[in-house]
Amino acid sequence: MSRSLTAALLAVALAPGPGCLQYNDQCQPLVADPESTVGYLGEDVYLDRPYARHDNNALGQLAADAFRHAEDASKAPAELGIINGGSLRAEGLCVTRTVIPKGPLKKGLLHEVLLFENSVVTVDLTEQQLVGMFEHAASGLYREEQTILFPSGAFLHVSEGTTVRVDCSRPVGSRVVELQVNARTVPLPARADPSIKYRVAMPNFLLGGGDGYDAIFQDAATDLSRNPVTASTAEGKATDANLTEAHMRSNHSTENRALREAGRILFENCARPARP
Amino acid sequence: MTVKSVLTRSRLFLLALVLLTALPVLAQEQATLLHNAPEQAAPGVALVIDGVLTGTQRIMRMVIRYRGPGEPYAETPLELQYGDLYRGTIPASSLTPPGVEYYVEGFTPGGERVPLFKSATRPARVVVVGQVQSTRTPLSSRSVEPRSVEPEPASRTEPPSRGERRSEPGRRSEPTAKAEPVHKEPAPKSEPAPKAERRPEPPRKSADSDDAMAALTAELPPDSGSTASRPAAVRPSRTAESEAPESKRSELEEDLALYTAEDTLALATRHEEKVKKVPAIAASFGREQIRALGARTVADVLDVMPGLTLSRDVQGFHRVAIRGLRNDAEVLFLLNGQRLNNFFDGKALMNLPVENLERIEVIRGPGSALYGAGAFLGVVNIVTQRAEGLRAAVSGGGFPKLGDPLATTFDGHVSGAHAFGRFKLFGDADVWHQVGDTEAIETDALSADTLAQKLREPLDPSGTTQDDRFLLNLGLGFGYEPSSASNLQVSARLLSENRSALVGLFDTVGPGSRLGWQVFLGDVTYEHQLNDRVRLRARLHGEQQSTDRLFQIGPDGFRTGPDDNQLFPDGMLEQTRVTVQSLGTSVDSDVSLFEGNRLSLGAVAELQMLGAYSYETNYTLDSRLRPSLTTPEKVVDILKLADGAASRRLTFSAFAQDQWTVVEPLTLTFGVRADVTQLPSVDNTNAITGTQLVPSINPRVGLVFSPTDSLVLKLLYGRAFRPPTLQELLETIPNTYYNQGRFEGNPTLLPAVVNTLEAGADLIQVSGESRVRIRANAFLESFSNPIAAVDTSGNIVPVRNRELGVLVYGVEGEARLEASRRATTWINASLFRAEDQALPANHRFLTDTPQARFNAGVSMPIGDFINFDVVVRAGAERRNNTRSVLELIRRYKIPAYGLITAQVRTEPIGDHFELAVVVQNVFDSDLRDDVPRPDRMPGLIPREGVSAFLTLRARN
Repeated sequence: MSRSLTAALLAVALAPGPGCLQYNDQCQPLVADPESTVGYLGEDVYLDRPYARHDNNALGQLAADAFRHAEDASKAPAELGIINGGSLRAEGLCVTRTVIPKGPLKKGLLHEVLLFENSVVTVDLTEQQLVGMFEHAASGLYREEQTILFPSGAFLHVSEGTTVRVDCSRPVGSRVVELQVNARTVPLPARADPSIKYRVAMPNFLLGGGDGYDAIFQDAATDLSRNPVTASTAEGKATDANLTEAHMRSNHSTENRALREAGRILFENCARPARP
Repeated sequence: MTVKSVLTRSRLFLLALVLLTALPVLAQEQATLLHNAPEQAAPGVALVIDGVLTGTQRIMRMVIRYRGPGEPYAETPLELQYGDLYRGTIPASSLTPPGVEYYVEGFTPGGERVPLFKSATRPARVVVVGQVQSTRTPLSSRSVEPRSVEPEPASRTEPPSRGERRSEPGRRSEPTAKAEPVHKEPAPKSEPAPKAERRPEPPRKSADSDDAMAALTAELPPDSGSTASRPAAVRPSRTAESEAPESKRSELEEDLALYTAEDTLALATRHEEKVKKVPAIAASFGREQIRALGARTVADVLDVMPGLTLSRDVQGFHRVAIRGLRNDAEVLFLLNGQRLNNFFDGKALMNLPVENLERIEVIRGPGSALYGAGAFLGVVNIVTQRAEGLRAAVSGGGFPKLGDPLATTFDGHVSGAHAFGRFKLFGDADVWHQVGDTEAIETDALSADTLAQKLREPLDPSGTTQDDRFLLNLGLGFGYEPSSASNLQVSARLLSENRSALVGLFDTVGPGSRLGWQVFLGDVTYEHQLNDRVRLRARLHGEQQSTDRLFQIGPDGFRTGPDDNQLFPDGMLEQTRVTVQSLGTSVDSDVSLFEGNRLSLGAVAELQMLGAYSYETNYTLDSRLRPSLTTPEKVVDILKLADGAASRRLTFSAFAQDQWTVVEPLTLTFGVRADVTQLPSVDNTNAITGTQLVPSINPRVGLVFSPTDSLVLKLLYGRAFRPPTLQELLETIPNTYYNQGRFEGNPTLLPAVVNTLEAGADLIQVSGESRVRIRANAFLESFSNPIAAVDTSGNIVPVRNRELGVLVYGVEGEARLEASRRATTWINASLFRAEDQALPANHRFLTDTPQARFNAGVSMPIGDFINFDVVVRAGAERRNNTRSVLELIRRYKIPAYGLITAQVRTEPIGDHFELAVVVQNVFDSDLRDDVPRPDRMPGLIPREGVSAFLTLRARN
């Protein structure tokens, strides 16, 4: 009775309203030409958080590759590109997608997955920062016997040529057991020598301290001795999504060269999301 | 016909029956004469006494009994003018200094004398002063008291509910019983007529029309003769900030008083005396109406005002949205005319109990031309009771809980005023203690961690809302009239609040959070009448506010890692303590330039300072425990920026306003206020180098046209500005893993400006015994550089100006029907659309406040002594804004809602007591408000469920 009364009152009260109420169209595409194909996926890509934040992910790796090559034309190209798992979004504009089926990848969809439009900065990190960064990325991983409930967005995907072996049975802070960056094997624990530099490309979100990286990167974004360079294109500032789109177009434009996930993060004793 | 429809129908019948029977049920009400005694009068001029007889008791005739100094009481009759309006005259010979006393008696058919206004033992006393005619015109028609805070005749201030003043229709077999607009008093007609000037007036124009018409007529410009003598000066000072609008009532107020819905309104009338000339879209709820709403706090009242919507944030603050926009720093809150908004963050400790309030006034739309900075979305003035006498109330009740005892609330209130000759003392006190409602919050940002750390059971929610609160509000003051031409008023107030955070700081439940807030306000006002054309007022006011906000951002026993120093036995804490002070002074005057034209001039200077600021955490930047709360690295010490210059703000203002009645039905108002505000200056790197003075010119223009007696049309333009708050400019807190998503200060912020165009109509109709008042307006508000906190990265984001502005347009309407004093119904509705111009067409709507609101209320008598009130508040669906990608994907939807408040209250018992039982949110509807991180707290903020309170009120 109370509900029907309330409903009736509401109906009467708001009757003139609905026609005048106006809400935003959540489904409006973010980019022009959303239906064009930017490349091909060689396998289904899962977007649920455990797949984006607790496992290797093809689109995460694609973005990391794109970042790594953003400054290839400059004197100081990056050795490593990274992107945080939290940058890969399943929410979408108006529907949440848990999976992108293999086959052609539409431009609109790629921009929905990478929808933050961060700029990409390439910067020198010390070895301690590099290792600290991967330790932080591994700190939120669940151990093998645990359920992956709320994976941290700070988890990092890395570019081709880099492998990180993490052991989730070890305490947080010493989970990275093997690290290789573009053919450079990084000794563990990291050396304190500040002259040892690794040139890393990442979204400005991370460099600015997002997802808890503040304590690790500190003022690297503004320290000129680290030579921070923001990726740009002829049209202006390049966003992470635009760089990724361009990289996809030039490297995975046909079904033969379809994008596939690689085993760049090597998990030991870690929980893994079940693949359907 | 189905059984259900029969049932529904019978319910309707029942309702109709109750309404119908309500009318005749009214018992014979004791007759009273509604009249306000003037405070002072001129010597040697006959004093005209006008009054409206109310009540159903038959009164055959009435007499004024009066006496001059040292004389015995003499009698003179009160003659019926028309309707219920009676008029009598105290002869000039009795008006000699120091004063005259009088009261009014009536004769029943049985020949018995009954007091109708005051009595022989407590007569009304009118001070008769020298030869100077007091020009001060109260805003009000009744102009009774010149000084705003002055002792007022009890009858007037006690707003008496219209209830008390009106008679029942249907019953009035003779004129005596006719219900009438309240105080239409003599003076009334004219606006500024100083009370002292009262003299017999010609019958109102529409003397033959009915009351409502008479009420309107009363607002017409005075006859030319009277105008001439009436100085413009009379306006109560309009000074900007300060005036305590309190007791001044305008014609508008008078008029509104009839329709008690809106009892009195001085806020808009600071410069104006007549409703027709009030260049603002305004509303005011007087005490009786507040009671009929079943409202307990200011927030309860504001939520039913047209165009306003109240919501709460995670920290528990009440946020007022006006016309679709919501920003703490953009609604100017005044308490008795003194600003409540905190200099640091713009928030105001405004959610006071209503028991000691005389009324709450709201201007929607810009008020900077009157009130300077910050009167941006609207102005709310809370006016405390300062009427002669003593009033008290106690209340108890709370929120029922399953399986638990009641979450109780107890509050006590007392207010009073007493005059000792030329000296008047007034004060009020509120004490409020509530345990508050508790609602489950299923998920917060730390849900996974608290579960993993076994800080809660898997099936338990992440936490619950906490809403305990202790509030103390003490106000004290006195008024003194050293001479008839001058008036000194001194008041002070202490507000102290200690409460929990409703949820916590941001995205986690923090049951250990404590928020303390102390406010001290002081005000000294001196008014002096130079001559009959010029009145001067000077005011000095000061304020100190201290806030101490301790937030728990991780629960007791929380771990951020395996190490010893990553365990937080008392949770992760952060504490911000801020003290601000301000000192201001103003001078203003009113000058009558020529007939029908009045000029007000004034100047204001104010210094606002940040006295102390500290931000401390018990965790390091890498989330490890500190032994004690300590200021973390990277916190900007605002006090030291640019050698402290950034933490001070000087404001100088000057204003002028001219009001010109060109022809009788048309009044034009031109006003302008220039403010110079001290804001930080920055260099190329946005580092603060010092301060600069930023000018702002805020004009307003009003055109008020009354083609007929019952219709008033308004066309208004106004501009308002608000500078950024200190917090928006300067506060910078380092990012940490557990404390992300904060906004940081941006010293390059520009003041926001709004230009508003409003068109309104006001119609009063009388049909038989019923009165209907209808008001409607349309508005267009264009905001330039509005200051907004839009999360674009989830990280720390600077507050920014929205460079392309925001556009808001809509309509608001209200109607009130009064079938009798106790049987009334009202509705109001508003519809608006807010668009952020910086966004593509399909993303620009701001929808985080309801675009449509509807409120309605019915009050009906049940028998002679019981009243039943129902109030419905409804709002349309709310959704997330989409100003950034983050806002876009942090989707939430709050469905349309309807909340019902029901109340049963008695008529006065033995003239001294009233009892009320109110149930709020009767059906325990699940209302929610938005949160900053709906992705982390998808259940949003659960608002209060059903609650019930019993209140006993007493007055002498």
